[in-house]
Amino acid sequence: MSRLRVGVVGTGFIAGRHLAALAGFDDVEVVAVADAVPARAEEAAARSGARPHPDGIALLETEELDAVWLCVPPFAHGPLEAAAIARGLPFFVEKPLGPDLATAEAIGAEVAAAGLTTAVGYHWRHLGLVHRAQELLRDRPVQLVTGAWLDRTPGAPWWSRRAASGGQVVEQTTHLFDLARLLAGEVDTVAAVERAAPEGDVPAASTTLLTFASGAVGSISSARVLGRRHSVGLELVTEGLAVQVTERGLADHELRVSGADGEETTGSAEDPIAVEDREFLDVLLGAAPGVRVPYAEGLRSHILACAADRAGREGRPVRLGG
Amino acid sequence: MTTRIGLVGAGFIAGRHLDALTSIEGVTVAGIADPRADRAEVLAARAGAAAYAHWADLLDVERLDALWVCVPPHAHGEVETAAVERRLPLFVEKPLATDLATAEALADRIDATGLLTAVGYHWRYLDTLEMARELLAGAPARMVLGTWLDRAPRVDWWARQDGSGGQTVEQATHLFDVARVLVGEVEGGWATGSRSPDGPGDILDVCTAALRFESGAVGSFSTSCLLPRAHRIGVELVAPGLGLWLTEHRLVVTDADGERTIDRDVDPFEAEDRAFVAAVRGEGHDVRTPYREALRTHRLAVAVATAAADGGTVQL
Repeated sequence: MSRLRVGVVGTGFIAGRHLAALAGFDDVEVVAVADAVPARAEEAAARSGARPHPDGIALLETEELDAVWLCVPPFAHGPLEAAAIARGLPFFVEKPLGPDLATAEAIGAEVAAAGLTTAVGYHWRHLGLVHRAQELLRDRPVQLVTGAWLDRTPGAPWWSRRAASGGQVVEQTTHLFDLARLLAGEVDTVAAVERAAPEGDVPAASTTLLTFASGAVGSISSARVLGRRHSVGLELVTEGLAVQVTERGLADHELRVSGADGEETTGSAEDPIAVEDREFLDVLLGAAPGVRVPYAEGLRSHILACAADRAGREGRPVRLGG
Repeated sequence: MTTRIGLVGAGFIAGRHLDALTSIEGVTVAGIADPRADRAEVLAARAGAAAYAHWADLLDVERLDALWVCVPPHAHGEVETAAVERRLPLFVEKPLATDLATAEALADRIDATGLLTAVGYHWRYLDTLEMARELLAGAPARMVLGTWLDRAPRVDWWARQDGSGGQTVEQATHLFDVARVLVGEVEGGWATGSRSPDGPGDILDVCTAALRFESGAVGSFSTSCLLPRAHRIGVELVAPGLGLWLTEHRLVVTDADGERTIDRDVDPFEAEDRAFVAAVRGEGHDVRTPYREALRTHRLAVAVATAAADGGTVQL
């Protein structure tokens, strides 16, 4: 049976995780890799047995592919997705969908019009622990959501520039906003406060207040001033039960359930990157009906994160559109 | 010479103070007043004190050097006023009242007399809080996250807005006080809350606030009384290269050297009572929260609770 031929644009940290995951599947072959830095493209290509390209557009124009993974910095989104759509090429795209709303909304419209198969890298949704959390909360309306992403400032120079990365809320904490939508429903309004940093214009810290359509309320905070990742997670409170999901690493998660009978903690070393990649491949193969996070769904979380960021910048509440 | 103390209220917190006071040398708890005669008598028996049904009788009959007011939030006001009229040094449990006006009127009365007062924000006596303050002196907090996820106390007044002032005013006030000590004054922000029809009483079940501090720091404070037991109660502070998690029992420090936990070495209830007794005796000056200072914390808690009721801005 012939293998699916895929390309990967980008060779940074998350691209490396996807390459490693894809290498573990025997029904897919990474045939092409692209990076603006030739040495990085060549090194990743050599490791994968793929052809190197100096940029994603060149890769898309010259390769015969069944799908492409887009793992580029936030500011590089737009032209690659458009090129993939023009070719009718299914794509897996990493969050954030862009540094702001405009690019992502435009691409979202094109994806919808083309009816293209897509997936977004909100990998928490692929964790067994998160599915367990969903089950626990199924008939118990969430009343309060509290979350925090307390971390160091990533080293990439573009990250600290809000225009390039979207800022911490859009680039990182978006995972917690996505999880909050999954477990507590859609958000009506956000308000935010932020504290400027001495270097870069991404805030040192910020807190977003959320009011959910269900009546639930929440608070999701972000900080980038610590020496290393300190705490990343979301807690949901409902009548008689508290459920918390935390991430210490991409393959290191924990679910803590506190109820009338006491507290139970479950750890997981599951690799959600491999799970989401497998899901996308299965959809391409016709072996699965759909992905958990198609572009349109990922876009809703991106819209929420962008609204939270804007609320902080502008200093006033933002209503999410209907 | 003994220091004679009167206790108004014979509920849970009065019992804590009784234990602390009876362990201090030279202190006699002379009388305990509570409209529930059985409770007054139980505590009085423990202390060798006289039991009274009404605090007015306690004040009239007993010669006292100081009064501890441990009444439910809705019952503050009259007893403090009577104590101020008698120039009787006052230890008042938080919250100062269910509302702001009662507390403001009392603060004015107290200031007019120069009366010695203290309020039960006992976290201020934690040695671990002092450690946190020292660590933050080198790396000022950029963010504070206060959390009080608990069950609703089983006393009948707690879940009623007119009984307690709600969870923010009655409980989370401790978190605001700690934040004021460690991060500074709040200038504004937003708060929102909600309650379900099945929730206890008529208070908000959950409340959350996003606040701006004058220092530029930001804060998030979240409360819930929906859980079966005390689940998470504490203050997280985020500073450059430093993470702190402070609870009533320990401080967890995370910095370049890794993570370490320091258990408290002080019983803060005992410490605050000792400090006030010493002040009453003229022997000490370690009252950390006089009434006027406590009013600032109470004002913040009330402002957050008021904003949360309508889902609006916190006005200070």
